[in-house]
Formats: sequence, structure tokens, C-alpha cells
Amino acid sequence: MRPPPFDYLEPTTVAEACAELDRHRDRCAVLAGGQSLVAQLNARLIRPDFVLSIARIPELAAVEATDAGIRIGAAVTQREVQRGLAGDTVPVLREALERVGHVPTRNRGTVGGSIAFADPTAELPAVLLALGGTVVLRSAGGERTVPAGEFWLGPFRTGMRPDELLVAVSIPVPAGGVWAFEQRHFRRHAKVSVVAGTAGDGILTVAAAGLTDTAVLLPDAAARFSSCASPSEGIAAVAAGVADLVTPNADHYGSPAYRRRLAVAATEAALRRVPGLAPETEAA
Amino acid sequence: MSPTNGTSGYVGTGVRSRNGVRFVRGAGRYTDDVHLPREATLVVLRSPHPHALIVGIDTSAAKAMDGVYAVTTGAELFDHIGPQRYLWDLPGQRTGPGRPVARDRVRHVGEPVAVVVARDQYVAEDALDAIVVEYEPLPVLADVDAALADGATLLHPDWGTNVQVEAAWPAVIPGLPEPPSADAALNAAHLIVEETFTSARITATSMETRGVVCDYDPSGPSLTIYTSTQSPHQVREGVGAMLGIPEHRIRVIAPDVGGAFGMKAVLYPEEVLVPYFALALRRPVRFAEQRDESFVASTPSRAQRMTLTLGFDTDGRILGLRSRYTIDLGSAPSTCGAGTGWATGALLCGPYAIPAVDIRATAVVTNKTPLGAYRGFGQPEANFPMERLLDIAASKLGVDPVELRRRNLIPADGFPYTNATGMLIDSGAYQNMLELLEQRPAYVDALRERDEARAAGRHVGVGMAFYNECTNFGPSGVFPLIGIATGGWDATTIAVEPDGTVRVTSSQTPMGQGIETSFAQLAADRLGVGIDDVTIRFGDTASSHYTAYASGASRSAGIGGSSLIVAAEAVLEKMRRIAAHLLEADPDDVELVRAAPENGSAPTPPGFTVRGTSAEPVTFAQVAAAAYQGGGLPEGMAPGLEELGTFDPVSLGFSYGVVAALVELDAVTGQTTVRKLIFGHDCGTQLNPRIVEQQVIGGALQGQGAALTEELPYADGLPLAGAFADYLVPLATEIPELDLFHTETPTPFTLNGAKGVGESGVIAAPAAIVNAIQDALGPESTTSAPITAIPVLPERILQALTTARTTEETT
Amino acid sequence: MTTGPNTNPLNGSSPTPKLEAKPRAVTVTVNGDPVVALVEPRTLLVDFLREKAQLTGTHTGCHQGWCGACTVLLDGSSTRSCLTFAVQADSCEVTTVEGIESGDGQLSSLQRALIEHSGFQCGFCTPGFVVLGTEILAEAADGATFSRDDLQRRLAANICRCTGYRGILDALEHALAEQAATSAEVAR
Repeated sequence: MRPPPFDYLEPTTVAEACAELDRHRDRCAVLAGGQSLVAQLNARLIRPDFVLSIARIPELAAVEATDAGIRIGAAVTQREVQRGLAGDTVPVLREALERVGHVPTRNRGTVGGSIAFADPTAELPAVLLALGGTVVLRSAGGERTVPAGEFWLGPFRTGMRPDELLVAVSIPVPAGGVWAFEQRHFRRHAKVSVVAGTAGDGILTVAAAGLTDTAVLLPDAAARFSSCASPSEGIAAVAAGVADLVTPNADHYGSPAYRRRLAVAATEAALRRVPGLAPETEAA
Repeated sequence: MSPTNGTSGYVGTGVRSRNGVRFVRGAGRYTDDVHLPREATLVVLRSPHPHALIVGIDTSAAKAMDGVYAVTTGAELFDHIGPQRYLWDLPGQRTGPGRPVARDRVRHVGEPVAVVVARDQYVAEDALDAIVVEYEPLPVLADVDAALADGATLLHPDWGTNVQVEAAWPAVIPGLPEPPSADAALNAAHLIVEETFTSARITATSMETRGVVCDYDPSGPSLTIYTSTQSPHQVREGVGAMLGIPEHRIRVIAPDVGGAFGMKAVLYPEEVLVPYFALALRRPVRFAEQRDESFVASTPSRAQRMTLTLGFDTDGRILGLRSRYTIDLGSAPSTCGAGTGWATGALLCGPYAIPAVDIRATAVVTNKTPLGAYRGFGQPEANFPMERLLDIAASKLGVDPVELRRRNLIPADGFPYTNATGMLIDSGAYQNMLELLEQRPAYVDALRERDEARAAGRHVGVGMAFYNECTNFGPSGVFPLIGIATGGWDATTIAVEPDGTVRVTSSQTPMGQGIETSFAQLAADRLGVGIDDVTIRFGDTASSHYTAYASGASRSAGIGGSSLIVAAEAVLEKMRRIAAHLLEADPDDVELVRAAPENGSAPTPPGFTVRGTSAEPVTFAQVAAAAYQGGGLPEGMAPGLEELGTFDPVSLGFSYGVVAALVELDAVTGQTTVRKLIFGHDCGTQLNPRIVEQQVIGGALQGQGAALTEELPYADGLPLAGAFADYLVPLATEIPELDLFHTETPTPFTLNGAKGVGESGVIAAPAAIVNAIQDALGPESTTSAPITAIPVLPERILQALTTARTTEETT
Repeated sequence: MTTGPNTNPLNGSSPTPKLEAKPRAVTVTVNGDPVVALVEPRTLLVDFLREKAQLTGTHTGCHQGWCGACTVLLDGSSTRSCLTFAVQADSCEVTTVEGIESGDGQLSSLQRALIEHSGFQCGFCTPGFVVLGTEILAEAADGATFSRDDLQRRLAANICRCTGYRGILDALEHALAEQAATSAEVAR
């Protein structure tokens, strides 16, 4: 289990990185933390001619508070997010990251890497989706931002062009936003993650991972909830809606029936923890 | 010979591991840590197909790559490496081609198809990628049923069947009275219970995968083979036979072994391929098994399905037992053949007095990796059906499950007890162990906790299972009768060095079971020396005397230890005679003076004195000096001070115990939490209680894994688990609270009273946990939704909860 | 069966011949000593440590980042060296299990506790747990607190097949308690 041969690129600026991607395109894999990429390479599941590390690009290691919220550079590690400004600013990120891998993988794994890898069961895409985050991409041709909801196209597939580099994710943090993260799984299989809350506008938003080919939003979460006579009925209705999003996948331990069940459990638990949503069912 | 007090001092105490400092500093030396100049790396190309003809292999591109020294196919090796032999050659067993690399046909995913030797692992894997193999897929035998079906493809056409071997009990021996009829017993039974139980195929996943390094001696052919094995002598025999090299030119060394659990007790293709290529290429060669290949290349185990029938009288006494079971052997027998399958039948009666049995085992070949040995070796596969069925029977009889065990356990005055399959069970106090469990505060608390939780609507259950375990395996005279190619004896050499310190060379192999420490304790006690004056060496055929069997079958403490005692007695006897000569006394008047430790007063060195006198003792060092100088020894005595001790057990030693589990089921996720495990065990004399406890705990968690999460699922011969992501071994977040207690019922059949304990933990833990799960599902669930297969995955629990609920609602 | 992305364009379908992966010199400070060696870009840090630095205490058990036998500290943070390239560690500091004991060979409190509490059997996973635990002790020294549950969750990063984990957990708790007591004394 050793990688096939590749040439290694270590650009020191985003522009340099984009030039390399423009040159090599599909033959170049981008290395951030490597917790997914190097595992794939060790198993020879992919065979890029080039591996481009973003570790030496200072711009990508920055976490910045912005007017709207927070911007996390692609090379910022998950552990830094947990312990630093980003985690302070977006507490649900901290909650979600507690479930991502283990400390040794979070020491190296990056937020950007997780977003770009597009594992349909990954936690961070669900958070980004729920909070209405955007993905910032740059190429030799310029920069564009893609809303989270348009970014993931399928399992391990994004809308990134082969010459594009993910440089940051941006998360709006409006005042009054409250979020809860819950996950249910069986030894990391049948892994369902749910992010529920409101962005401060009082409109219930629910996003989930592990249900289908990408992280998804429950399109009618708010309507489902408010159309019920009581908050607990509303919770049940929203959970049922999330469960309905489950489609079959290749997980030996994650039959659709089982994942639906875990989806209901995770959704109900998350909703009960959204402050003010269902006062009589809130966990103490 | 004046007796020495062999049971004082170190034996029986929890001496800390001698490996501690080395291991925590990272100074262990495992096979992959061995490096030799100019070494090359060997990798194996493995079949991606479960069953296929090899139409052609094109190695030209791989051979042309820089840094590649050899690319070789099975056809090219066929005339150079002979077929493997079998450690366990059950009567009537059929064998496969037995070649390290397939020639015309592959029969399981992972079967070796070609070999690359290259500069390093990276280049070698590049070369693997460049080999082109054309396969013609053949029909797949996905499981035992497919293999036994009419008209099924024959995996080995020359067999005429897909049955590899059958075994049956009781053995009918001409001239002896016919054994009691199980049919008659069952016909007369008040109650018959019958169920079919499945133990999934699982694998040891020792943290160190397998590895082989072979040195090349230009003056050869002579080979020094380092390999992560439990049995260096068996490797030597196998390599010698298959390569046609005389054994005196082969040295096998087991360095530190990073876990084995039985999986490293069979001979593997790479252990023969690596030396072959070292000779062919005239350079050292190494192999490091990669984890992904370990799931298809290292031998798995269990994989049995058993229909078990028990007949009871009105008092709940078992009158008769019938069992029909299959072993999903994989594509061909490994060097241990269907040994686990044989052990299941021979040991199926377990700790119970069952008068009549009718047991039939059928080992069947399928397109999967061949089975090997794994902790428990057929006994977990026997214990699970038996203990589950006893609980089911208890429910139907209206008898408490613990009480039902009590009525059927071999009574205390029944030992030695010959059971219905002909096994002689040496000793035990089974009912006493059961009583100790019932009185154990942790158990009483668990029952109360269960009742309270149940009243609050939680799915909590308590279950138990009793076991005995065949250890000190076994008498050399018996082995040929059951097809084992070696004897069962062990050997130890003890030398007292010229300076009076002690060097023990054992033929057992450490793999984490702590014999470096426990044997040092034993030697120190027997010889009366301080433990720091004892060195134990293992694992090298150049110094360890031939041993007839692996470190396995839980024989180190009893058989290995007894051979150590024999050697110690021999050395002491010679020393006593030398001492008598030096003291000018009668040997019968000379006795051992044991070393006294350095607390307070000046330390006393070990030595000999004349009983009843105040004569100055002679020290070990003085005796040794005389022995090695050689000029002033008693008439006719040879110089030197090194003695060989061997021990062949007259009979097996049966450890035993009881496991109780407190579990909680999550009704939403179906997941099981084992909250508490109460484990009572008896392995006879304990050389080191700390080590014993560690073996029980480690084994128990492996048993928990087998019960709840571990399996090697296949879909039409394609393995679904190839990484730790999919093969779910227990993690630190899954450990139960443990309450351990023990008794010591020594076996009369070893010199130290010790029985084995290495496999104890894993035998009954699965059944105890599943019995607890059944209890948690509710009293009616035994009938409506009996759990009969492990692992019990969450969806199975949910299914059972639903069925149990539905049944409750409709009754 | 766990598989990677099967729709990824990087899936080996490129017909263009591969460039030679040029070896390059890296300098990694290992346990305080600079180790300079030529490596390929694909050379894993664990292989660099085991072969170039000749420190075989760091082991491999899976090459997938699941078992933790390869755990080292990279610039002070626990890292799976099987998922790291040596080139990524260029100019960085790596601490392996061999670097946990003091310069004059004194075992750390965790190492002593593992011996005391039987936190190993075959020893193969032990270096990984020593390094993992050392990081936890460092966090505790910085003020973090850990319940037994917290410690179990942290230890779940690594796999042990022999011990059943209880000895490892007990050893870690013991070392944490000893560290807390020592710093309380120092504070007085």
C-alpha cells in the first residue's frame, strides 16, 4: 500500500497554484491535509501524475472575520477551526468537527479539503449547506463563488473545473443564528449527520449528510414544521421529511431502512436542541 | 533426589512484564524492523476473481521496469516449489494443489497469481500494476449451500465432491461396547429443542500483519528466515520440504511477534516464496503483508453453521445431543486443514455431562480464503450454539438458565471425566464456579440493574454462558489418531552460565502472552535464584530445541512450563551432585539454598549446603565454575551445566469459567452496549495472575467483537471488508466494566498444575452477550425472535424488537 | 467495501506517460536531530522515519489512517505518519516514540504508567498509544480536563487487539493524575 509515482508541486502563491492546475488539469490532485488523498493514493485508487500541495501558500492558511461572517482558508486545519476564531464564531462547526475523524486526523485534515472531497457522508458539507455558506474558487481566469447548494454534484464529485483551486469557504454569521448538530452512525457506517437551526430570521433550516449522493437541504423544513399543530408534531414531520431523502448507497451496514431510522433520530435530536424551537421538548 | 520447593517466590505473583521498557520505548524488534544489506522486497499479485482459469499472464512490462529483479508466475514456480504439507491431516481429508502460487486456476479472491521482487515496496507495487493477467471466470461457489447443491461446480474436480472432510462422533471402535444411542435418548426426551446457529467468518487482525525476511548466505545454500510466526520449527519443516533443502541448513527466527492469536500458526506461501527468491536472486528478500491484503491472505476462522438438538428429561437433565454442522472452509485446506471444525465436534459437550451424542461435521470448500486457526480454535463455534440453546431450553422448560447449567455441569466428584466424544476432562469444580458467580456482588447488582431498567422501559438484559476450554494440547500418542502430524510435547534447555546466572532457552514463542515473564518466574522459583539472574530466550530454531507443535492451543504455561521444570530439575540435580562433591558430602544430604532478596539484610546468593550443618554453602557460581572447569567433578560426570527437559502431557487440561454480561439495547439505533462483563475463570495454577487477567480481558473483548461487530461478509465470492473501516474491531469506547474473579483447580497432568488461559476470554463471551441481548429483548422473544447468529448487527436487533413487540401485542 | 471516488477524473485513465518523480532532499528534525535524506515525493513519512532515520519504533498497521500504529508528533501535533509524505515534513520537527523518553533515557510518566498498569501485550500498538497519550498529557498541562469518557473517545483514535484497552486507559488516567499532582505541588 504505497502510492504510485507522482511529481510534487509546492507553489507559494495561489496564482502559481492556478497556473499549475491550468497546465496539468485532470492529471493533478490537490493535497491539503491528505487524510483522504493519501489514503486513496496508498490504496492506488487514483493515479495522478502530479500532486500539488497548498501548504506553502500563506493566504490559504488564514481565518478572517468578514462583514458577513467568517472566511476560512482552504489550508486551515480542522483542529485550528475547532480551537480558534472560526469555532468561536460558528459554534456548530465545533460541534460537527468533534465528530470528524479523530484528533490526529483533524490535526492535518482541512475544512477546504473536506468540502472539496465531497464525501456524501461528510459532516462539514452539511454545516456549510445549512448555514448558507459559499465556496470560493480561483483559477487563472479569476475567482468565483459557488453557493454550497450548487457545489456538490454527486458522490466525490463537485462543480469544480479541473483548473480551479478551492481557496476558501465563507460562512455568513448573521445575528441571532442558532444551530444544532447531531449524528447517528454504526461504527462510522450508516452515518447520518443533521444540522438544524435558524439563521436568525426564524426560518427553520435543516441540512443533512449521509442520506444520499451529496449533502442536502430539506427543502420544505420550515413549512413542514409550522404546518403542524404542535412543536413535537412539527419535529416528527420534519424528521420524516429528512428520512424521505434517503436513497440507496453501497454501504454494507447502511441499508436505506436503517439510515432512515437514524435520520429520524438525528433530526429529532437536533431539532430538540435548537433553542426556542420546541420549548417543551428541549433537552435541559 | 531431594525435592525442591518449586512454588515459592515469583510464581503466583503479578510480576511486571519484562518487555515493558522495550515496548514503551519503541525498542521492540518485529520482523519488519529487521534489515539486511542489499535486501529486495517481495510482493504478491493476487487474484481479483473468486473463481477463474488463468488464461495467460504477461509479465514482460513488469520485468522491464527499473529496479525489478524478478517477476514470476505459478507455472514458472511449479517445478521448483513442492506442495505444502499439513499440520492437521484429518483422516480422509482432501487437499488442494497446495502450491504457494496458483498455476492454472484461482479459487479465491486474494489467491497468489504471481510474485514480484524489486528494490523496495514502492517499485514492487509499480511492477504489480504492470502485470497483465487474462482470466476466464468460472461459476462461483458463494457459500456452503451452493457448494453442496446438486450439480454444483467442483472446486477440485479430482475430488468428485466439494466436501473436504467429514468427521463424526462418537467414534465406533470395533471390539468396544457400542456408544449410547442419541436417537434413542432424544426419542425418550420430555422436551426437545433444536435451532440452527451461525458463527460468522472473522479474522484475527493482529496489529502486526505478517512478515518474512530471509538472509542469503553465499556459502549456502543455507537460509536464515525471520518470520512473524508462532511456530518457527513448523516453518522450518515446511520450507525444507517445499524447497527441497535439508533442515539442518535452515534457521528460522521469530523476532518480536506483534500479535498472532492463532492466525500465525499455519505455514503461509510467503514463508516459502521469500527464501526461494533469496536463493534464486542471491540476495536477502523481505515481505511485509499489507493490511488490505491481510483480509484475503491471512487465514480467517469460525464460519460455521450448526443445527443443534438437545433432549431433556423432566428435570432438565440433558439426555442426548445431536449436531449437524458445516464449516465454510474456503477454497482449499490450509496447513491446519479443518482442525477447528474437528475441535468443535470433539469439544461440543463442553462442561456438561451428556450421555449420548450424534455429531457430524462437514467441511465444505467455497470460493473464499482458506480457514486457519484463531483464538478458541473451534470452541467458540461450539460454545455459542450450546449456550444459546440451553437458554432457549431453559425458557421452554420454565427453569432458570443458571439452574439449568447447574443440573447439567459435570459434578465436582466426576473428574477425571470421559465425555461422550471420548475427551478426558481432567479436573474442575464447575458448580462451585457457578455459585461464585451467583454470589458475586457485581452479578447481583447487574440483575437488580436489569430489573430496575426493565421496569423503566429500557431494554436491558443479563445473560450468562459457561465454558470449558481444552488446553495443554496434547498427548503425542493421541495426535496421530486425529490426524495431527506432529507430537504434542515441548522442550526447554536450561544452562547455568559459568558465573552462576541462568539462561533458559524455551521452544515456545512469545506473541504478547507474556511467557518471557512467566517463564522467568518459573525458572527463578525452581532454581532458587533471583528473577533478574534469569534470561529467557525464544523463537530461534538454532537455539530452541525442536518443539513438536506451535505456541498455540494454550500450551505454553502447562506444557512449555512443565518442560522448563524438567530441565530445571535436571540442572539442579547435577548441581547438587557437584556441590556434594565440593562439600565432600553425600548428595542426599545436600540441599538448595534459595537466593534471598536484597531487602534489609545482605542478599543471599543461591547455593547448596549440607543439611543440618553450619558449613559454608557453595554458591551457584562456584558450582558452575567447577562444572565448566571440568577437572574436579564426580567420577563419570561430564563437564558443563546445560540440561534439556521435555514434557509430553499424559492428557489435556481443561480450563473453565463462566461469563455474565449486562447489556443495553438502543431501541432506536438497535445498537448494543455491553455495560458489564463478569468473568469467573479457572486455569489451574496461575504463574502470573496479572498476565492471566490480561489474557482474559483481551480475549473477552475479542469475543465481544465477534458477538457484535466483526464479520467478513462476501457477495458471490467478492469480499466486502478490506480495511478497518469495514472490519469492525472493538475500540476504546466500547469496553465494558469488568469484574474478574478466579479459582485455581490445578491439573494433575502438568508439573506446575497450570492449564492454559490464552483462549479462555473469547470462548464464552459471545454466547453470554447474545444471551443477554435475548434477555433484553424480553422473555417472549426467545420463542418469537430467537437470536441465532453472530454478529448481532443493529438491524437484527431492530427486527427482533419489532417481532417481540408484535408478539406481545397479539398475545 | 470501502472504495474511493470512482467518478474522479484522476482515475488512471490518462494516456500521457508519467514524468519521472524527481527525488529531492528533505531535512526533518527527528527527536531533535536533523535527518537529511533523498526521498521521492511519494515516500511516506513513516518510511522515512523507519528507513532513513532508522527509527523503527513507529509502526504501520493499515496505511489508511485507521489504526494509529504510525502516530508521531509533527510540529507537536499527533499525526498519522502513514498519511503524510516526507516532503510535507521538510523543515518540520517530528517526535517519534523514541523521542518521548528524556535525553538520558528516563521514561516518561505515561511510559512508566503503561508498564505499571499492563497497558500492552504484544507491544506493536504501544508506540502509537505512547505518542497519542503524550499529546493528551500536553493538553492537560495546558489546562484541559478529561473525564474517563473523554479519554476513551481520544484513545478510540488507535486500535489495540491484545489488551482490551483497560490497561491503556488506566495508565493514561494515572499519568494525568500524577501530572496534576506534580504541578499542584510545584504551584505551592
